[in-house]
Amino acid sequence: MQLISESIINQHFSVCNIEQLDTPTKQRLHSLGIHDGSNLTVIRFFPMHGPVIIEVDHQQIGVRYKVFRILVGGQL
Amino acid sequence: MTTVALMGNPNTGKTTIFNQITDSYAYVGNWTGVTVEKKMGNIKHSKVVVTDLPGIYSLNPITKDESVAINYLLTNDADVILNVTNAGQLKRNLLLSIELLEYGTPVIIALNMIDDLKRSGIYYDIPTLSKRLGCHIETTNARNKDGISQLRDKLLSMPTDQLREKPALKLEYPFMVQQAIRQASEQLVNHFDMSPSYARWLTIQYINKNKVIRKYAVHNKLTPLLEQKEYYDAQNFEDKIFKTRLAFIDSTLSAAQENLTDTKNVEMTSKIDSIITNPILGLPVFIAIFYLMFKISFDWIGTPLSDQLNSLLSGPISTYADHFLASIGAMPFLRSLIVDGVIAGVGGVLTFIPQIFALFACISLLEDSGYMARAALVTDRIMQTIGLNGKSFIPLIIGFGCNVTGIMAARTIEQPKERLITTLISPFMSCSARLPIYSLFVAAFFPRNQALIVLSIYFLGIAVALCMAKFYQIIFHVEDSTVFIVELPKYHIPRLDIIWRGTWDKSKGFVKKAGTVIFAGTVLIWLLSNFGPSGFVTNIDQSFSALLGKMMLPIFSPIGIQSWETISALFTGILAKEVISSSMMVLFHTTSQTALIATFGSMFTPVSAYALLVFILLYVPCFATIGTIKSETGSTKWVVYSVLSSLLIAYTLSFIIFQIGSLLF
Repeated sequence: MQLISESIINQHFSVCNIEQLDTPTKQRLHSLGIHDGSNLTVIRFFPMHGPVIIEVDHQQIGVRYKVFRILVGGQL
Repeated sequence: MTTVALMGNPNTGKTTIFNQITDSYAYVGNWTGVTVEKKMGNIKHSKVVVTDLPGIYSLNPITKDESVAINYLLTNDADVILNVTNAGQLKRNLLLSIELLEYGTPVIIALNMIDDLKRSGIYYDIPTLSKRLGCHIETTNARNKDGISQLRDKLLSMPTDQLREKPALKLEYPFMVQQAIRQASEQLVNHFDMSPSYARWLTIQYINKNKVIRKYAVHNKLTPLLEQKEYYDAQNFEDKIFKTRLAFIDSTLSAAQENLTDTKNVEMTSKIDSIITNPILGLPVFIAIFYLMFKISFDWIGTPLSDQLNSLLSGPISTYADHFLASIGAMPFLRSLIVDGVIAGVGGVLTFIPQIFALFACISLLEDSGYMARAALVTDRIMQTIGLNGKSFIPLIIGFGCNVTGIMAARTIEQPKERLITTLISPFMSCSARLPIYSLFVAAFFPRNQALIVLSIYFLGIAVALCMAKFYQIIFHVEDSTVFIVELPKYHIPRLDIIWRGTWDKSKGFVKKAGTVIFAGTVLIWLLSNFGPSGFVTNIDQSFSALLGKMMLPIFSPIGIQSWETISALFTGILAKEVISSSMMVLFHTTSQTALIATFGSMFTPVSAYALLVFILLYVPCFATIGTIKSETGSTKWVVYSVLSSLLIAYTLSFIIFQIGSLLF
């Protein structure tokens, strides 16, 4: 299992690759005001590639790890 | 008569506002999807009708729950839309507001949770916002009732006729999109008799790939839209619309934004979350919270109160009723019906009210504080292994209260297959109606470990549900889903009035059932056990229920049931699970729990008692649940399947428990 370093917690990323997600996920993220270029802060990871809590525009949401990986793209 | 439709993103406090401006009460919770159907009420002292619709992120629904709102817009004609927004997250809330403003019906926007916004050091100039959006705006803080009376006055004084003439919001979409909208809507106005603003809104929604609107267009043969479908999609107009809206919101908000002097705000939410959603502590905290909930409901508050109520009902009240009936010269037949039938049966169920109230109060507290969304997150990883997601956990937890509401709450789950699985496994969640019978048996056979035994039954229900979910995941080929996006609302300090209303709203169904289904059930059982093929019988062994029970005895004896009375009681449990214990009271001819418990001693061993509890946990869902499965899945096939499969599982498990248990103990 790949360990996620604590160092990326509270780091900022720029959202990208929303187009690569499935339609409902993309639609829901858009409705939450999250789009390519949004600023994303990592708040917390759950173990075993569980959900990731991210913060965008002062709102915290939980997404699946897989989605998170796509959203931060090559920045990790 | 004016009608107001209440719409907005989930978790913006719509239902709290609804409760405060209307006379009647609808159920509130601090997690996505509490409003599972639309609820209506009148504004106090007026004829204005308010409809509370489920929270939506956009008019294009992903979940079944969200489609209620768009269908409302297509079929109803509200005079005013009250768009409740979370002021702290205005950017994304306005994405929905734009869709509503384009619809053309007058909109009032309530900037709710305005205090949260101020605390973050930001404020908006309301006249600027109002001018740019072209609608009236009120600021509110519904939890503290701030701004509610102004909002109510505004709704009452709205000159709806004049407002209708005000043009709908028109955003400057890119030229190509603009042209497409104009062409299609002109044709819709000319050939389909639509108003210009409605035609424009419908076209925009169609271009925007709104699933409901696309079906609506096919159904109504709206050729101007259908013919252009490929063109709209190929040009990626949807994306262009989204970007235009976002740019409009950004410019609007920056024009209206005022920075307040920096407030030193200690973030309560993030402090609590450092423990509650801690990667390691999260799950133990979750288990601890639920353990505490059961302790409160059964050991600390619920059971002691129930015991007192029981001694009151079976002692003074039934003796007094018996004496009273004798003194007015009532027939022995009638006395028996009232004292042994109604008071024993209905009263026997009513004694469980304290436990049920305590359990619902705990669930309401968790919902109101904002914990439920965290629970979904903490449990997601586990649920993922069985092909479900953390959101399935919430309907299942609500199922502890009542399977019917649990199944209805499953509407917020995005994928149809996951929703179906959640619906099918929901009846295994031990609902509060099954509590009375557990309490009775644990008091009789496990007096020292009451909470633990009940908890084990609950966990067994969860375990069966999870195993079945895994089984369905395999046979339905559910792929690892990705649509799991949970908003984490800010924690609220729970408010006693909201919790009380939530508790009452959930419990009143139980009280109501005591007066209807349970009453009818006990009378039916009393009749069946006092009448036989030869008419009125004095010996219960010759009654109809004895005959029926005895006939089934060979089938039930392998799972440890040796008395026909128990079997007859189980049959009545299909009406409603609460009836089982009241039926037993009637069938065993007792009026008090103590006497019934003494009777059990000769009929069950602790092992057979436990096997019976497992059978009761899992066998056929009650009528109301069966009805809900039918309406939510829309198919009789699933209903039949659900009944048969649960019967099979219940029989197999209690068979194993009884046979192995008998060998060991």
